Amino acid sequence: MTTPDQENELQALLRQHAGGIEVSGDFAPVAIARRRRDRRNRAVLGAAAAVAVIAVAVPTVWSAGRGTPPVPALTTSSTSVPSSPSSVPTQTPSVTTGTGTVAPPTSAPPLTSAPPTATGTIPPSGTAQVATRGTAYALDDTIRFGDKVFRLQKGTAVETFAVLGNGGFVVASHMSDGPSQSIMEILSPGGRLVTSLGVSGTYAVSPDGSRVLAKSGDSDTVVVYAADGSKVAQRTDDRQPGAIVGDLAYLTGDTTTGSLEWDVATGTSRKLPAHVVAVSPDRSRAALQWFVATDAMDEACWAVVDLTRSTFPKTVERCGAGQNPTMFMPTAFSSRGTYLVGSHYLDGGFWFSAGVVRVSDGTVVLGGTGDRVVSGWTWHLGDDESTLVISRNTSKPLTPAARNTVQRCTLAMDCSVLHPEIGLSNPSSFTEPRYVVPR
Amino acid sequence: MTTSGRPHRVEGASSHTRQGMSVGNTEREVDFSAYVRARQTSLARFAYLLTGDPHSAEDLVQSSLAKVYGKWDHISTVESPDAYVRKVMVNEHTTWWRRAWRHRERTDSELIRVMDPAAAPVTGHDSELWAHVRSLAPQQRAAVVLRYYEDLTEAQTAEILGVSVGTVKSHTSRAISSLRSRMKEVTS
Repeated sequence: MTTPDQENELQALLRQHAGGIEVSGDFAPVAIARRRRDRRNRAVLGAAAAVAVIAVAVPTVWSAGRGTPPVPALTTSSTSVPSSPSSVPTQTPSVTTGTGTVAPPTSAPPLTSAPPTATGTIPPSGTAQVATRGTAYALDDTIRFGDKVFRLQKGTAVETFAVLGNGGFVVASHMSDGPSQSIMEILSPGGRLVTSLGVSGTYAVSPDGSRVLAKSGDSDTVVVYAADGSKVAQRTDDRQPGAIVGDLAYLTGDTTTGSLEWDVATGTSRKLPAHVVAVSPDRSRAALQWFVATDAMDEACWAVVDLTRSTFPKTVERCGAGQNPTMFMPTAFSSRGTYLVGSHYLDGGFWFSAGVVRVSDGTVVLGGTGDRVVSGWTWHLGDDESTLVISRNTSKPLTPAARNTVQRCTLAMDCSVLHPEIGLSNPSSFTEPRYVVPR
Repeated sequence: MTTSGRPHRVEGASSHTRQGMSVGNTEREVDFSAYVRARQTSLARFAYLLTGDPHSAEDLVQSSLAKVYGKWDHISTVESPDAYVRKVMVNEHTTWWRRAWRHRERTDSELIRVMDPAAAPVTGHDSELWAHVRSLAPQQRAAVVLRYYEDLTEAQTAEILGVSVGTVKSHTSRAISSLRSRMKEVTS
């Protein structure tokens, strides 16, 4: 069955099941009554909470007057957990990902869909090479750097990963032949699982790799971890991880909630404009990305705001078909904040169009539409701000995606092959890559 | 796309002041009721695809519309109330998933009925496929429903889910891939 067939079958199934649903009544009075009842309940709960506060406050004040230290009131939902850099995570390596073995140096991976045959053992801690963003990549169910190969659980499909400051990794993955739900984990520099960050969630890593900001899809708590997997702070919040730089975590919110800058060291926070998706390494700029809410929803917008001023003025904004014709969507700042890295919008399928724009004036310096499309799945701009490393779709035509390689390209798109081209199994518009490069 | 414009005001709608209710409230209620009546079947179907069972779907529609009614003064002025309402429904459903302790509302009224699908007989293959759709994580299932039932673009889907376009692509790609592998298992 081809992918269009599957999509058509899925669409027909959904319509068939939906078509069997009929409404025999009127939801309006029920919803209105429920709204009124919910408001009454909230008012009662609010009154009960006020009584509870008084009940706690009176004895506290009473006892404080008698020389007993008062109990500090909890005024925020955030909780700081003392960081312990030397602490050793107590979680036992599991049989999910991270049960790594290290293989001897391997030659070029095979040009087939067969998994790599790396075997071996993990060398004692301290003797291994340390991964960096410039050297690490994932291939099928392995993570590789230098001559090292960490084998993850057989059948693991790495979706994204990042290299931490200590040489460890944050990996989002799923089983290629199992549930489609993704899991997020922190792996040690030796490739062992040290902390599970949750399922179907999102994460961000600080530029120096010392902090990870994560939120599991089945939780309303955002958590900051140290690179060794220990928990640094947590906070109950509806917003999503946007970025983290040093001790400042940035949570992305919509126009209702706004975004938030949260200092995990002090627990303080300040409100930021909605739709923050990235923050510059010096914390002076934030990138916003949003869609204009029309029926067509075909206007993508991005802007950069100045975080050093209290009004957060926009230093550059590109919105709508006239200013942002490729519908660029930023995801990260480059190492010195000169560029925004992200993708140009393409509807449908599962590969992306890499993009780089200049922060100062919004000029597109890499990628676009038509013959300027740079098709791939994951990429980053190197610390030199002039080298794009990309897991690239080298298929001709680009869809169905059938070929994958890792290339190093200049911003003028002069490219060289870093890792050899390999074939993808079951080529389709939804084919996942075999190579993944770190964020 | 199944989005439709807001229904026009109901002709002859009462604007008399009821006891304890202002004229503004009455107009708001009439306007909201007209919208709901025009769109409730569509919303119920969307809720059913999100939840997978009629009772949860009814609960979801009720709780979401209750929230929508609270903000109707604002929502009724936007160009596409349907998108806003869908967003509330998706958020509400995802919140249910995150709060395992949630007390499920018992909906005594049965406003939603499941009729026998008339279009085609349900085969074992379809049952397997439907079971798999129901097993997807809520946000992934929502992405699939918005893309393949509501026929929205990835940008529209991303806006409603409050995630990036990349996340929408990942959700739909993995859903299709896992459906493919599940169907291979079934057919073999």
